[in-house]
Amino acid sequence: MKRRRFLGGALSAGAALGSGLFGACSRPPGRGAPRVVVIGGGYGGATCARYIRHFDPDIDVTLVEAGTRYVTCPFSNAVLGGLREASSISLGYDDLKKNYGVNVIHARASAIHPEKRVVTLADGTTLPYTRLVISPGISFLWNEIFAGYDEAASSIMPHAWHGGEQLMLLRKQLAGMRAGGVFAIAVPGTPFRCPPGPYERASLVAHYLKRANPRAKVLILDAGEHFSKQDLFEEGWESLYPGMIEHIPISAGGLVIGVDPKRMSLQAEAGEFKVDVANVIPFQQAGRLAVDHGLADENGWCPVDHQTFESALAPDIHVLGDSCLAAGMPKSASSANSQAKACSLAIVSLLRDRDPGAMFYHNTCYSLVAPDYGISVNTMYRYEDNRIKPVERAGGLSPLKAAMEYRAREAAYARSWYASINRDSFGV
Amino acid sequence: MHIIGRINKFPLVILLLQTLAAWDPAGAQEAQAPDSAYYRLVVATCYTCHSATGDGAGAIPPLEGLSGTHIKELLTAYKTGREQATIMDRISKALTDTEIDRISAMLGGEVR
Repeated sequence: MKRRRFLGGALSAGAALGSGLFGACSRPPGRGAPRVVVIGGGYGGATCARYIRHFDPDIDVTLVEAGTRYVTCPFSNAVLGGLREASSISLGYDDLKKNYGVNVIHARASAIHPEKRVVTLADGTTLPYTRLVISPGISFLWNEIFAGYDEAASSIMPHAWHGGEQLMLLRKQLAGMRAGGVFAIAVPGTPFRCPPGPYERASLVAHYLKRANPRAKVLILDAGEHFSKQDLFEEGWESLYPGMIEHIPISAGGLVIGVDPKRMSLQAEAGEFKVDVANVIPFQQAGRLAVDHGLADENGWCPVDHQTFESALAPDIHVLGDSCLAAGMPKSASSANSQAKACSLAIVSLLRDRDPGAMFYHNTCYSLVAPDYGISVNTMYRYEDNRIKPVERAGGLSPLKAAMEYRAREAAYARSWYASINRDSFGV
Repeated sequence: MHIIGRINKFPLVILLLQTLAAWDPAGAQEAQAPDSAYYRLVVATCYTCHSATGDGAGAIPPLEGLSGTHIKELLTAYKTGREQATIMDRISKALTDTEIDRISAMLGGEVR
């Protein structure tokens, strides 16, 4: 009986989707429609808002995001390396409003009241919800492990891990670095947003320096031992930037334990490094909103149900993207986009009193080693035995020793992926 | 034994089970009997990397205008290794034959 009811519900879900993936779902929901509030307008939140409306246009969706423009982390290293302008990685929310019928409120969410099912905004406005989704990204653990690294220090030693002013500051410092100087990157312990990001950054900084400052060096001080796509990165570094990039893993003393912005010095376990530019990426935890509302565990990340992304610590609140613990899914834009789609489908099902059913998730992550040298990793996942599990004998890495034509093709796909995911998540 | 005994008494249940089995030959991997909403989720996965139309989307082929038959041929060729790709071979290997059938038909516009 349960299955029959479930299939019946699925058919009606199909009927609701008759307008097709890119059909207009901008018609407003009727009065008394269930209301979903989504807080956080990054890849997770934007995708979730859009896809709830796509899966069921009869649900009222409100996206709460303080900023009117979202600066993406994908391709921020390309801006740093001078391959793109900053304006090309900034997105707005108008299309979600106009084409998908999402209510967008540009305000900071100051409090969640789960017992009343209400969100309070900074100006005192209250938003009632049937279900709440939060996708608050990451927050930094200032002054932890990297002693002395706080917000003030980041104005001299930028993290540039959120885009925006920090990214432009680091770009300016890179361009102004003395001839033969050292550009250092301090990498935090895992998990952190965008696992291959620091190494793509080292690559594109080296690409810039190769022309502008050829005797300069890139130094990576790493709180980890191994890293994402390591063999592929190292193969690329050897062929494109021989002798320019030095990686010091934790076993060789790469863990930074203190910073001194006045002396431009990084104290690592291996000793003190005097550098010319210091890009210090701090240790991370779930976004502030999640941590402040008790949605994170003792490790600072949010445990969730793997099928619905509903918080394990608070009912009716779903946590997506970098903040959540989704088995082995890396903290990436692609993961957030995929989690948001699964979560949207689950919310639509739960609001209609249906079993959320089977789930499929995916992460594809491209990195640029140079403008025409791309590498990738991808994994597909299914919901099995109450967990997100990678599909075996599928996914994987770009091959080593591939022809340059192959690398160029993947670089072109990386740019195309970026255009597509922005379209998919933000409707642009 | 108990379950089989019960099923024998209800031919309609057998019919339902047979229909489900035919509908989902790779059922071992899809123990949760995916429904049409599930396949819409799988189709939505394609759009992370592929745009619907080609304008401004760059090198990754857009999905609009392809027939379901063509998409199925491509996905099957990537899955079996008959066609080389950079990433679609790695992705197609994760899809069951049923999933390839269903999402190809949906992407081709033959089934909503």
